[in-house]
Amino acid sequence: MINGYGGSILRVDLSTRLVKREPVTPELAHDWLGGRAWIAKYMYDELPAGVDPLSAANKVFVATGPLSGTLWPSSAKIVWGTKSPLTGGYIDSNMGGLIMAELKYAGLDMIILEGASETPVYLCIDDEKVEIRDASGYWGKGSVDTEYAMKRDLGEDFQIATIGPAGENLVKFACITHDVGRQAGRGGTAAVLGSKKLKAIAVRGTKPIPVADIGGLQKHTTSIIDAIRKKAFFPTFSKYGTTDVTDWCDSVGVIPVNNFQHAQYPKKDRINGKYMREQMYVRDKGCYACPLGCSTYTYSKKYDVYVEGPEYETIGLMGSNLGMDSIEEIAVLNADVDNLGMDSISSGSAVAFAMELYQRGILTREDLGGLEMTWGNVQAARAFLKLIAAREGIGATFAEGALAAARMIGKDTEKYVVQVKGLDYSAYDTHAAPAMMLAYMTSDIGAQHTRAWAIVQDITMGRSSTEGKGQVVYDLQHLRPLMEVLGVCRFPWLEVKVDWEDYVKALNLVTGQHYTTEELFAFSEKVWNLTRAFWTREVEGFGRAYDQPPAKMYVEMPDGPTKGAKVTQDMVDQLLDGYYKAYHWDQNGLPTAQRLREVGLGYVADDLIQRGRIAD
Amino acid sequence: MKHIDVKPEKCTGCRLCQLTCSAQNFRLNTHKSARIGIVPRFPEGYFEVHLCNQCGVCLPTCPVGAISVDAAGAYVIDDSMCIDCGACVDSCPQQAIFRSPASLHPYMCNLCGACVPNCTSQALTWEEDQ
Ligand code: SF4
Ligand code: SF4
Ligand code: SF4
Repeated sequence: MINGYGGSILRVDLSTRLVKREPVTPELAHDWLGGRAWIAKYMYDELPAGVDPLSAANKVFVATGPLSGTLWPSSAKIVWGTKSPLTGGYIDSNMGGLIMAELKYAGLDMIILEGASETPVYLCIDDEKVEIRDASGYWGKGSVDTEYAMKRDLGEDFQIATIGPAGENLVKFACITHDVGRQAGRGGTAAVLGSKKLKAIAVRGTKPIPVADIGGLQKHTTSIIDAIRKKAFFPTFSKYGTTDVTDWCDSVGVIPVNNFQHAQYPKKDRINGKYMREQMYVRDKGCYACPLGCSTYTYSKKYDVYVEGPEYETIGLMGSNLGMDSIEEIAVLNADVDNLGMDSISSGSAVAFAMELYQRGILTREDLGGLEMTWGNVQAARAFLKLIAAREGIGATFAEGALAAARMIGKDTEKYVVQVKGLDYSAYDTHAAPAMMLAYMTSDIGAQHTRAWAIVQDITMGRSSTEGKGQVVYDLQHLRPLMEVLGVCRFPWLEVKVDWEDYVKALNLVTGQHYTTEELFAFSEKVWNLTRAFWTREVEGFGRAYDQPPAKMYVEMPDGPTKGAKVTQDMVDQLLDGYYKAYHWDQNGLPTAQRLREVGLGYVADDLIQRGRIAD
Repeated sequence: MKHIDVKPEKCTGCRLCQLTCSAQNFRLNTHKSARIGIVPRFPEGYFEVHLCNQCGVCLPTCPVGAISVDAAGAYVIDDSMCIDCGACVDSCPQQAIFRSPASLHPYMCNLCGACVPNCTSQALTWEEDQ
């Protein structure tokens, strides 16, 4: 028994249908903690170099952390990682809900999915009993529909994660869904499950998680929750969740509009959290052990559809970025992609890209399957999303992701795709936000905001200044990813300012160890170097060229609060220079052998040298 | 005396009450040993909260008279008398008498109050008896 852990790793070979439990060793627990750190390590160590992401040789790693499923506030994260079919590099994506706890109650901390089944299957974990079962009855069904159907068939007390038709059809930004509306959204993890013909994972467990000092943990938790209730931002965030930021993003000119052509939205009052609550509120919903309950479950009368959310990222990417009229249009698009099983961010980006090509006359109505892809045309957008999920007609092109679609379409259209490393921007424009742009450029999965979110620093340190921003992003990239190592949500820290030291204290109460912040930050740096090393190994010619911002950022913002703003190559170079320096990487952004050895990755250094990827 | 007032419409389904209850009463990290039940109802979108409201229906159903009321007004099952027949569990109109591997006998809320401060959405609050 190791405190904080279920105790085992489940290795599932879908080709041979062999299932094996491997013990979590004290060394693995202590030295690599869990969550995304385990994923990074196993991915580097176990995936054959150059593996095709959609081949049987790729693996999916599903990992909890030592705090997942514990009494500690918002201990609700589970991380899904694989070699991304969208980017060709490292991806991990996490979800909330309840399944992380259930998995640990079944005595498991991580699942490794290997091989590929020939026929549709799902994995059923019922405490000690693990079965690979026929899923032909669910294949073809929507993600959310499948969850409801499986709960009816197996029992309400199973926790279930599913893929939708998009995952089955290997759409490269297909996502995994759980608990109605929690998704591991980014990078196409569900396409990899689709390639393995794994429709779902269902789990039920009965064993409590061993905790070193449960009395201490209860006391600590109750005192932190008491503090949370008194925090100034608590009432607002628990009510509006991420939608609260909509107005602010509009006022400071970072909300994406019409595929990032503008950064202020005239109809923002019809898409913000306030309007959403007035029009569609059903219930506040929270993940496991979460005192914030940031999610809002809603119902659109206009479209007769229930959805969890929309969250801000979806409001941005599928709302303002598509020129949609109101929150109800966003809700129905959100419900569509949820059930099709596609990332709402990359889905929004793909539709926005198609709409811009239509606006510019590069693609015609005929090219677009007869759809009038004008800004705000919700019916056309819905039909287009269905084409993508089914890979029908033009949908097959866009199912590869916006960047790959641009490369197929040609005609110099790549410059209209807003992405880094093939992963589409989430909902923050960076014409006048260099630190945020650097965060996107250097996030270890592509353009995602969760590793570092630095708009506040851009506002306080100067909207066009690059000074000191490399360090800002470096610091954020140490703390934030640790949340996904421990298996907790970042919002209590980010939104209501729970002190980081209180997380460390919780970790020690749960594990009985004596971790320090210093140690954990050094560990975080090691993990960051490891994911960078994975990219270096997997992508020929990887380096600075892959850390560049989208071409759009060099185009002057025509109007709004950031009117006239644009990025220059000088700024980009300064940002990257400062950033690489902070990490002790070389001028090309590659981890040096010396640095890898210093952070405890000597074996990785040797491997990269031997492969000719870095110099000795 | 006081009782715990339940407003299920405020419940977010977070299970913090259950986690706290299991920690307080059984020293276990799980939501599955709790003396309170949370049942999600989706797609309609609400959570049922099952908690003893001291209605007393269970008391006469116990064939061995193992149920009594303590000083705080909580209903208590005497472990030494309980024959685990399940009559009380079936009788509870709130579905608030539970069984789990944490105990050999059924149990209900003992009004310890540990869950109340951790329910930030205030689905659980203390109220004075009328
Ligand atoms: S803050 Fe929101 S996303 Fe985070 S755990 Fe709570 S409900 Fe889930
Ligand atoms: S703590 Fe409150 S909001 Fe959370 S599940 Fe219990 S009753 Fe519901
Ligand atoms: S008052 Fe105590 S026994 Fe009753 S549900 Fe709350 S924590 Fe459990």
